[in-house]
Amino acid sequence: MLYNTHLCFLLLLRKIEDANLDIQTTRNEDHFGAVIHHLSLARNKRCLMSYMYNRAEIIQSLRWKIGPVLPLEIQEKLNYSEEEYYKNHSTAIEAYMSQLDLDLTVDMVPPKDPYIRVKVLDDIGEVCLGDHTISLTPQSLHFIKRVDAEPFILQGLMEEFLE
Amino acid sequence: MLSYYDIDDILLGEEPISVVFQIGANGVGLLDPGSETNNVEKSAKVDLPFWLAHELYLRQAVSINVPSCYSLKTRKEIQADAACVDLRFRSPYFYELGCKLLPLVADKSIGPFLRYAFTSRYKEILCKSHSITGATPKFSSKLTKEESLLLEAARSSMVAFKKWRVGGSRLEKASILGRKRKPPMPTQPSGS
Amino acid sequence: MEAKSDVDLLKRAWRNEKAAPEILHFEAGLVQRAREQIQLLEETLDEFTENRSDDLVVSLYQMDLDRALFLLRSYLRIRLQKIENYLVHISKTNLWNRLSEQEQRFAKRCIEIMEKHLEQSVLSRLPYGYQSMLKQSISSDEDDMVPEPQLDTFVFCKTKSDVGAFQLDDTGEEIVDLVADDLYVLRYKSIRGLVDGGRIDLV
Repeated sequence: MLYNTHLCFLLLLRKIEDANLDIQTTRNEDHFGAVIHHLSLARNKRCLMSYMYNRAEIIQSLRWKIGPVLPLEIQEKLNYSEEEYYKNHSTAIEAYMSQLDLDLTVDMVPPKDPYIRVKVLDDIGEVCLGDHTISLTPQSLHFIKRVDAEPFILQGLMEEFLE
Repeated sequence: MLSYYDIDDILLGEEPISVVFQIGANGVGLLDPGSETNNVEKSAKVDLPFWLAHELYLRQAVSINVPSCYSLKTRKEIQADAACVDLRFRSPYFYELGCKLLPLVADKSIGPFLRYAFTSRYKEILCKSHSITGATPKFSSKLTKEESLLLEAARSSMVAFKKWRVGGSRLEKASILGRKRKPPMPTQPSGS
Repeated sequence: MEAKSDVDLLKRAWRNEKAAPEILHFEAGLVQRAREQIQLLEETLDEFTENRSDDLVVSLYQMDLDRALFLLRSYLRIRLQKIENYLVHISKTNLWNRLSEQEQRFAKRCIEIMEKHLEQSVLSRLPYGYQSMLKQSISSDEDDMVPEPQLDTFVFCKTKSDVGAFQLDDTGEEIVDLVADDLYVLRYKSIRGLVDGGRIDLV
């Protein structure tokens, strides 16, 4: 469809040229027809670009909200280029963080207590936290550092346990 | 100018505007359902999406008629009871479209009218945002896009404030309190 | 009042960055000092844990550390987000000099991958003359597709000291007397210079 519009545009320009008129200054019916085709193309481009751009913005925000690996149900909704975009964008953030030697994906909300009580929702298994390992089996309760718990909570593997 | 990628700005551009062609245009017959050729004739009256009408106006190819949603009838209804008028039905981008049309049409009274409509409805929206809970189809279905956002903003900040009051922790207060409680106080009038 | 700790200064930088629509100067020295202090705190904490000090003292130190870390992380994050939103605009203007070296590297990579993504999903399939990521078509005189921050948005701000009569617009019709320690709501555009010069704080 875009190419059809483009063709009409070119044909009208040709018509102006064939009539030996100056393409820059002519303001006849053919000129305005061409203008409308040109504007339609630009409009279609804007719609297409905005669709992809706004999706890309959502996709890059997922890196902060979920983590480096997307769950399948989200991945299914992306096209190839978007998946690639997500990976590249993730890598760019990681490169930045490793240059700084500081993880920016934790501490997303202002901290309250340094330790929080959490309930494990999924089988996470043995995890090394600081200088000791703990076993995170489903339904078990733990009292661990907030920064350690944050990535698990973001991914929905744990929840904060409030009495 | 708003962002090129702004979805609302794009949707606003789809609102139909009635125009009169000041000169014909060839090869675009599909714009005019009444045309028998593939062309639009001079002085044909056609409905165009706002984005196209605007661009053609700037090129002096069309003149723009004020859309019926800013008609005398609407103005009278707004004057009678502003909050009861269904503006979304008229256009979800009632204010934004009006602002963009203003420089393109001869009737400059749209400006003050929009301001009057917005301020008188704004008061109502703020009151409602405190009193209503959950789904409120009747009131919110009459709001334009901008007004819905306002209602939602007012509501979510109320919720956030309540949550903060109940669940805030002691040691946090110093930094958070300072930010959340700041509103008006003795604020100087700002440039409007 | 004037003698402020680095954490206080970091908090101020964080607030300003949070409230300003455009990216501000990267506080390189401050970030450096804050990181050193954070490291010091961490070491102190380790010592405490080794010596089995009082739990209360330990957790107070821990909270102090957490707060500083949060400010630092959040500050850097807000900046990254602004960079992501106004990539091209920042890279084309002198805002570029406000970025740290690492941020510039990040921005360059982001531009590359965004360009590649839009290129392969949309632009390469458009007709000749409409394939630019910056211009709607070759007949555009300037880059008319680049998102820019809205500088005429309103911000809450607090004066640090008397500024005196201050002109809000270009024509000089609107003048406000800015008094020390007062709160104002003004357009960011008009106080941009004061923010940049550190004479006013955003809240």
